[in-house]
Amino acid sequence: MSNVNYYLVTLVFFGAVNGLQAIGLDMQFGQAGIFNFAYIVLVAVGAYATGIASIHPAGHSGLGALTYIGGFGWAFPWNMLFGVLATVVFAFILTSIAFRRLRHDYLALTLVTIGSALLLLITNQVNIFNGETGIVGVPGPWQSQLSSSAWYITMGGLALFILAVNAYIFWRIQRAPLGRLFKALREDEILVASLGKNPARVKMTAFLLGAVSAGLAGSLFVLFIGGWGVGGWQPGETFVLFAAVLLGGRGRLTGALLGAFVLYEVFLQGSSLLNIPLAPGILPAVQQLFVGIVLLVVLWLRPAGLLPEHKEKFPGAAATSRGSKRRRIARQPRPALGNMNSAKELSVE
Amino acid sequence: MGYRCEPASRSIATFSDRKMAELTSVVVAGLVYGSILATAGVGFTLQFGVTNYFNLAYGELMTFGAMVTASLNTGSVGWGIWPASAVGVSATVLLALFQNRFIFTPLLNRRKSIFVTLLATFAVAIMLDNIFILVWGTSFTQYTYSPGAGIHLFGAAISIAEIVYFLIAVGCMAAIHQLLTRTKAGRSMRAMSDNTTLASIAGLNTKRITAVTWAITGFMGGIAGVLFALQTHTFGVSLGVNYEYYVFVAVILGGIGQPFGALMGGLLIGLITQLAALAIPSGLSPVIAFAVLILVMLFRPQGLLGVPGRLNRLGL
Repeated sequence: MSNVNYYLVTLVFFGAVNGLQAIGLDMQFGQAGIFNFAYIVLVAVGAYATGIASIHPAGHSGLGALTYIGGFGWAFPWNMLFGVLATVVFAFILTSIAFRRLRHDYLALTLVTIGSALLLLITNQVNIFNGETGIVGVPGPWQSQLSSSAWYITMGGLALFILAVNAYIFWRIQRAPLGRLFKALREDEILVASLGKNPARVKMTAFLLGAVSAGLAGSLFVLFIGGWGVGGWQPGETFVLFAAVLLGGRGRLTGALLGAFVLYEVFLQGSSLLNIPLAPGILPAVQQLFVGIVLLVVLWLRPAGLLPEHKEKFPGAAATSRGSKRRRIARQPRPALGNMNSAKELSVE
Repeated sequence: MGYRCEPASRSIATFSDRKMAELTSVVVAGLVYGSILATAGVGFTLQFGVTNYFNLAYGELMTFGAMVTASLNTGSVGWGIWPASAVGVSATVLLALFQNRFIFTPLLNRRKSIFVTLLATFAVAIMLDNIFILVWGTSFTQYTYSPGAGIHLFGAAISIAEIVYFLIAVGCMAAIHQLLTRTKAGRSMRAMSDNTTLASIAGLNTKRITAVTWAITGFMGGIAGVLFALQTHTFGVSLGVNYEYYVFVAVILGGIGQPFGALMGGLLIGLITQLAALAIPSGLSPVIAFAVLILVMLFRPQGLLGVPGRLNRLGL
């Protein structure tokens, strides 16, 4: 297989995995309104868990001075299942601690802090996941049995398959009462509570669903790349994901996928290919800077994104005075009820 | 100067003397570190109180103050540390005012949503991180600042530097306290923090007070950045991001929106992390703060000084 073909298959693989992350974040943020600014931590948990489930215990196979916990040496798909399970368990613990009564922005601050804490911990405490260097030598599924080009194609196909299954499940959920419940929670939490649903539990459900996608994405990353380290889960990664979901259209599955495709494949890959003469290591910083500008422009001009959310139409609903909203004089946000109108503002063009 | 010279015959100190010295130096280190954390925390929590959204780019303000000072203090420019810091802190104030005037307030006016602004602060944080890398690179630097020898207290050596940092931090907080309680601007800030709508109805110029608040947040952040950089000796553009974590934990511990809470939280976190370093390896000190955070979340999410029920907007 020629180099160009290898590159294309790699593009397909990463496109699928980034799409997985995007629909997971959309489930948490777009559907249920949870500002999970530490989404990449969930991906990292999936990656590390799958990694330590795949490789042998530390010091075993002459890989030198790596130190890490675990090391089960399982084959695919058990290592991936373990990774996803670990992510879900981790997300569950996180929600039981932090979700209980916190509103969105305080929750965002808490998640950011927890994310930073874990990043600092893993980097400094080397015997958990080998610190900054990370774990290496993770064997891909059936890698020893396939030729190199066949394996690449298999991985690309596997990623697309997992993305398709995950997207289909999320699509069904969004059309079910549960999906409507998520959106209702995003719009007006008190209303949802007054209808007898437990808002914290609903949020937890959405969070865990998003965590499944994150775990799958992390698994696929580590199985393809063969290793995972601290450099893979810096806060900037979550930021690019948010930009992708907002650009493509939050609250909409195809929107999240479109945003991931446009941002990662077209913009980031495209700018890498342009071969602009810059010092090495400068290009990622410039790219993230531009992603930031893109995000601010999207927030300014069109927070609904390229593919805005479907507006639910209910038969017999009286015409609301939606048009008069634009005419209203700017006023300070009302803190009393928590200002849950935020999401409505985000979906107005 | 007043430091005791130990006579040579007592060169082997008793066990309790050594323990006392160790404890004293740890407590002093904790108070110094805690006071810098408190300074940073007060800046952060004041701004949240008035504007009602978190500035997730606060760490970047701290970094900016430290790096601008470094550019003036080291290398060919070679100013003294204090003139360089004055310029650095002023530059941070300008950056904070710029963010407010050109990014956050216009966005808030246009989209009328706190959450969009929160996303914008996240965006600004990442963008500033990358701008700092482009401007200052990823290498580490050090200030050129050599204070004199220190004093001795209970056998522990306390450097002049630590005393200076502590005094600066305490001075800033005393100034903020005076501002909040004695001046009209401070009272207006407290009014806005309580109930923004009522404050604007009562005729307060919310735009100007917001700008003043941002200026204060830049000031405190800049000073905290310089002090953190001084305390940690070797630093780079990741300074603010690393310390921002402890500042957030301190603010959450003390109570969001409560300046005294930030003060208490900062001192507590400083003391706890330094005392814990006696017992556990220093690589685990983020874990101690993390454990504190978990305990706060489980048992008192509104923080030590937060009044339950009063912070409805946060769900507490």
